[in-house]
Amino acid sequence: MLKGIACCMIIAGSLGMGVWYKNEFTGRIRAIRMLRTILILLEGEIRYGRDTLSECCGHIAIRLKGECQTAFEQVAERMRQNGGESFERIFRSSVEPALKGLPLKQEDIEDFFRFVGTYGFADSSLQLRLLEQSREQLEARAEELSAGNGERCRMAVSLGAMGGFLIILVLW
Amino acid sequence: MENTILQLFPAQRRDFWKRIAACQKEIREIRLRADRPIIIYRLGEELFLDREGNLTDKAGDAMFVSRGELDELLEHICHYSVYAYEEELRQGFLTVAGGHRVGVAGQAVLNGDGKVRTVKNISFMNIRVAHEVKGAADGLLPEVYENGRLMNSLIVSPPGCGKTTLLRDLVRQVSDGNRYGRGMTVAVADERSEIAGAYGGKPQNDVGMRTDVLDACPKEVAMMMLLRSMTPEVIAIDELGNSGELEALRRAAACGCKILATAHGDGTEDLGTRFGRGEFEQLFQRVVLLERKNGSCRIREVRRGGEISCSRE
Repeated sequence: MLKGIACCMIIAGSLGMGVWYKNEFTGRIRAIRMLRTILILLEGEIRYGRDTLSECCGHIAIRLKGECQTAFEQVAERMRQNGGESFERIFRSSVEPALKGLPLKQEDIEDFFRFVGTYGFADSSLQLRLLEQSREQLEARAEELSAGNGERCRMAVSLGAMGGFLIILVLW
Repeated sequence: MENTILQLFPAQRRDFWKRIAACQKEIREIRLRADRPIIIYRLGEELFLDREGNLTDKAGDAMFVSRGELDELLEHICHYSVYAYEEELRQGFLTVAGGHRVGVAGQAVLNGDGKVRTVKNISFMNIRVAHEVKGAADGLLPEVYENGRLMNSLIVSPPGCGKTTLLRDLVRQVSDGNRYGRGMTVAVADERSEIAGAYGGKPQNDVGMRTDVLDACPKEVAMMMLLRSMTPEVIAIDELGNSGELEALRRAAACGCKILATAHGDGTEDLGTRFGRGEFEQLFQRVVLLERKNGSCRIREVRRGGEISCSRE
């Protein structure tokens, strides 16, 4: 009886781990798509309002949720206060902690931040092109991840379940 | 407006500039040229900045500014979004918080049609510190009103005599109301952001409680837009420059608006040459001529319908 309960707990635990991995894979794609949406919103603000990057952050904050909303509001507010810090510094220090809370890899975050690393374009089309590059990079990654995601998710759940069986066999 | 010029500089340069910012009221201009000394114009005096950020009259002690520092400054002034100031750069100046104006010069990039597309390799900057002089138009008010009615008025002077300062205060007093007339709805077509010093659409200078400002829009277009949308009683423009603008003013006057304007010139003869003799005299019931004498600016004469009504000579 006791052995039976232990077996069930092992299977449930390992299966749970598989499901957690599955959610991580899907969550990363979802988070990358959210970054892509932010970049599209920024592009729109620059293209139609010719706003500065800090103004764009303030405008798009209302369309975001949770920590990202707070982070973008913070960027706009700190730039408004004009403490003399550069936009890149303010943006990274405010937005990076919010992104760390999402299931993203460092490379995704760096791709997103690419547009703040280089600035000084006197031409809005060049600035927009830089945002597009970041967006295209993220889109390519999301597509790549989506392509094998179904299999990876199934694999994670199966491996979780099989791992549980293996542990039971070893311990039996 | 206290210490607002310090905000023009990035954090790492603020220690150097804080002494200058502390005496902002006395500073007229800050001239920055790549690999040349920093020159400050204070109370009519030309001074240099030494390495500690103190004012000195010795050119040998002066601190030089590098191209890199100018680039950094421009980035900061543009909020790290130079593209958003494309139009301003094309015109060669930016209006910043506090109403100050940053003039830029370097290498012009032209379009195929010969028009300036942008200015690159910016190596020269001129920070003109805004000074609002409330009460500057006190002496002019009795001249521009007749029986409680505002007259179409043109302020004429050579550059640097304070005609914009005078117009700004006139707009404020006409808008708020004064001892010669009630408060009126004023619309300012502020193409070069010099009257209201608008930054982010918000006037940085006090232009009165009944004043609407259309910023950074060509004057001819702005006047017609304001006329249609804001139903002003008075329209004010700075630096009347061509006959198209004069025509737009004439149309505004025909709609019953009063006109307040300024123009560069040394006298009515200059204007006669530019716009045609009698053209502006028909429109403006008052022409105020300014002059600079012994370092200060004053009203030289006021012409009423072509006749000199008040000469201070």
